[in-house]
Amino acid sequence: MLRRILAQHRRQKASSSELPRQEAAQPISLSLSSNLQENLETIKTLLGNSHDLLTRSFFIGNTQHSCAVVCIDGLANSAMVHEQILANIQLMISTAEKTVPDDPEEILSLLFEEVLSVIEIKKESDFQSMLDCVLSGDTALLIDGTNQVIVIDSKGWATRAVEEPAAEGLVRGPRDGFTESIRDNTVRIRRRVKDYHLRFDGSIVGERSKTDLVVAYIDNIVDKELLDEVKRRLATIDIDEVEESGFIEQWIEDDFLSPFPQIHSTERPDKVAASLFQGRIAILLDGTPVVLILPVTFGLFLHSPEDYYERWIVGTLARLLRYIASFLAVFSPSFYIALVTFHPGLIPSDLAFSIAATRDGVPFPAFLEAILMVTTMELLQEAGLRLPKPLGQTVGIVGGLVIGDAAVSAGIVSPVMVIVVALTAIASFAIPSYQLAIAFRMIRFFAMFTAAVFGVYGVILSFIVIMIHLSNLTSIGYPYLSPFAPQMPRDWKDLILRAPITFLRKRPKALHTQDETRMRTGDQS
Amino acid sequence: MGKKLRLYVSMLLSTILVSGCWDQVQIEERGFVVGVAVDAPRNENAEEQAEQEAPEKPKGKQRFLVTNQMVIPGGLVAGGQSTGQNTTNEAYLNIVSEGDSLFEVSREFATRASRTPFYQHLKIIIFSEEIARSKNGFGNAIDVLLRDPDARRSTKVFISKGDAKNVIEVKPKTEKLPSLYINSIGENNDRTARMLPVMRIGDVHEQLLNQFSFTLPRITAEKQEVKIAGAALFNSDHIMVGFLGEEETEGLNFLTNQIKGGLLKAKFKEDLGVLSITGAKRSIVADTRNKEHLKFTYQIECEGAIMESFDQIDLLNKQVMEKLQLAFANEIERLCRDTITKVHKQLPVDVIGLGSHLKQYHKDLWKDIKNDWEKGKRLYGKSEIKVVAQVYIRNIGGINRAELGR
Repeated sequence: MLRRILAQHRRQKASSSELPRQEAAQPISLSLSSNLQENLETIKTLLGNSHDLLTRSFFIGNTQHSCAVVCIDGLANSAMVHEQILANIQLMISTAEKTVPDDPEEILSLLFEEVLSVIEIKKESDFQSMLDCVLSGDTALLIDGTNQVIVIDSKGWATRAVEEPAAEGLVRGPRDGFTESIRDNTVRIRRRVKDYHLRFDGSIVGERSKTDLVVAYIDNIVDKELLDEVKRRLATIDIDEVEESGFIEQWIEDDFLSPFPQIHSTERPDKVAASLFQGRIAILLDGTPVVLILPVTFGLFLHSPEDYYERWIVGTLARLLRYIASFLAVFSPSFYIALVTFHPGLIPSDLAFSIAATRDGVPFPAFLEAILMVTTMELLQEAGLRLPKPLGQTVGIVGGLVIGDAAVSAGIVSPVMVIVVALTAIASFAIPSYQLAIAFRMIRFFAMFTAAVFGVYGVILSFIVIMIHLSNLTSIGYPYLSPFAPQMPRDWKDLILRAPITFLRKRPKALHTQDETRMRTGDQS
Repeated sequence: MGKKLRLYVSMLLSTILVSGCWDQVQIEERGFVVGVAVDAPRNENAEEQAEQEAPEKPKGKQRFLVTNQMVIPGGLVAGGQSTGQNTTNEAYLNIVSEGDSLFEVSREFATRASRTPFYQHLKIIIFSEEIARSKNGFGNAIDVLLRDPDARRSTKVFISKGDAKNVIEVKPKTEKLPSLYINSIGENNDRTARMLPVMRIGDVHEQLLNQFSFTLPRITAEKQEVKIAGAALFNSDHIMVGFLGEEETEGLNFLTNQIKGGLLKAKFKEDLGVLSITGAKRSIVADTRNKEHLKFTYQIECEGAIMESFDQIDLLNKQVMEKLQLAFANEIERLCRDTITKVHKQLPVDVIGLGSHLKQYHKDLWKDIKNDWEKGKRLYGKSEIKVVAQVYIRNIGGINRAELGR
């Protein structure tokens, strides 16, 4: 069954589009006519006389040559349309004492070359390309008598201000984050990477949504094979709409059955810039502040930009703590189950007696008790996530007091279990990547189950199973567990240990970068 | 594929359903046994009864009266919260039973206690003097405790003067569990030289497997406390032959290089001086020229700090100091001589490590006389032992003298 699903998935990936598509999605192969009124009518028909469509017909200067501007209300910057287009055409021509030629083609080139003082401007002659531009915020200028249209960049809509990403806060580090606008986001990256080798390869995904997608990389660092593979996978995307970069992530990831994330997502520009310098690739999508970084390794999910901003001892300690935290987040409930039900001899005597004392009268076996508490914690976490902030506190109080205290006094769970669950929760919050924390939450239940059946032996078995899976996993074909496996001792300097900056002279070996050296001068290390 | 899948599923299910959970017992359902006391039965009622019921039953040579001390966890919780079924608020329960096999007795407890006995937290095992002195007692009683894979080799072993049951039934004021109380006392040998270092059951096993005599710490019960001081002497047949008193144990510790701390008292001029021992080292010099008359010299070096000085002497004076050191050295020699008199002359058991010294440093000679050491020609008893002690006072404390000399 599993294999069938897999096969189907592969087929979907391989064949780009054999499925019949709806007509509406097909491009309009309609050229402009030379009649202005006719063109305007066609536009209105194509857009179904949309409520936000703005058209304005007027005369050029003081002549009788009519023309019209077409734009989408809200998408186009109306001040810019007024000042640069309408005002220029209506007033400047007369004040500059230009003589307006009679031939519409000549008027068009006059406007194009001289009158319109806008940096991004182009000519189009079919409805499809014109509408694509208009619908992304440009303004179209149609002139009576020509079958060409001038498309003027006038993008300007309300965007969110740059804020610090809520999910990835740092004590030390830049406070800016990505926004929903892809232009703002490329700016954030360009501000950090002034190397002219930085490339933004743009494309459009989504048959209907026509979302802008940018693949960012540094041309003379990135592994070309990686780049080709990423582009190949992106080219297979065949979907109507792309609302969020998660669509892209799920389409191009290696193993969709794995609980582990194989592509990193972040809202932090500094993290993206650092990854680009390492030789990784970033994928930006319009409409979402979440940027994808690939390929990734398991270690990267446990790293935080702050590890590099703080001094190396602090960074190393923090990383060590996170590795311990991830172990605790996955295995602490299962160790509790295993020790309490199978191996009380492994608990120090006094602790064993006090656990036995507190469990006296608890009606459930340790496994059920743990399942009960861990599930409750998941519920609390899920509930708190969706609730508006003022209500979120209520959840905390209800969860903390009622579940923690009342459950113990009611004798449903033992106090030690509450400690274990609290430890698990805190440990999983200490993991910097939310994606990985979710993966751990799933594995926790698996480990608890094996612990309930086989004891510590089962915990170790589940650990082995997870390790086998992890070492088989790849991210865009790059080994997920590197530099642990395959072993790359050179990169261990920046793994659990974060060696002093001056020691980190090379880029990660696993990435096969064209330029491995980060520091060229000086032999002191 | 369907067949394969079915195979995988059935394999997975059978591993889980057949093997899984076989030793799963919730922690609150285990009866943690923390102490075991082994006695010889006081009367023969039980034996006679068993005889009447089944005369054909195989019988052991020695019957044991076993007391298991089981923890009642509810009683340990401060204030005795009303969570458990515990009514008396006592933290332990002593279960006594009798039989000729310790394992049989422990399984017999399962018929009487709601919680199954669990021996992985066993802290102490106490054998009564009577069991230790009997011919088959000690070795037989300890067999199951060593053999059972559940048991730990770190369990401490004591020999009680009188009944072991009385020791384990002591009601200490400081601890809720008598066994843990005894267990902690056993670790205090860095404070006193009169206690033997604890012997774990693994160490005892080691002694049982080699041919030397050995000692085990002695424990004595009083009403609300126990005292661990003195030593039980076992000969090379692993039968207890006698006790060493507290001072003799101190000498033994000096002779066997097991001093971890303690004190020395010596009379100097008119009054006492007290030395706190910070360390001691002994070495043995053997004169092996005459096999029939071996000569051994113990050289003991001891370091310490003056803790009390009742005679108002000038401790900063070098001559005074040297005399004081000599006085302490004489005291060590006296202690050692007393011990040697007992273990060398009265009951010749080589617990002072001479045999193992010969085995380590004079291997050829040892091969020769191995069978004539404690038994046979009894060369051990015929040998000559001397003790030379040297004391170094490293510290006189915070003051020179408490009051001016009279």
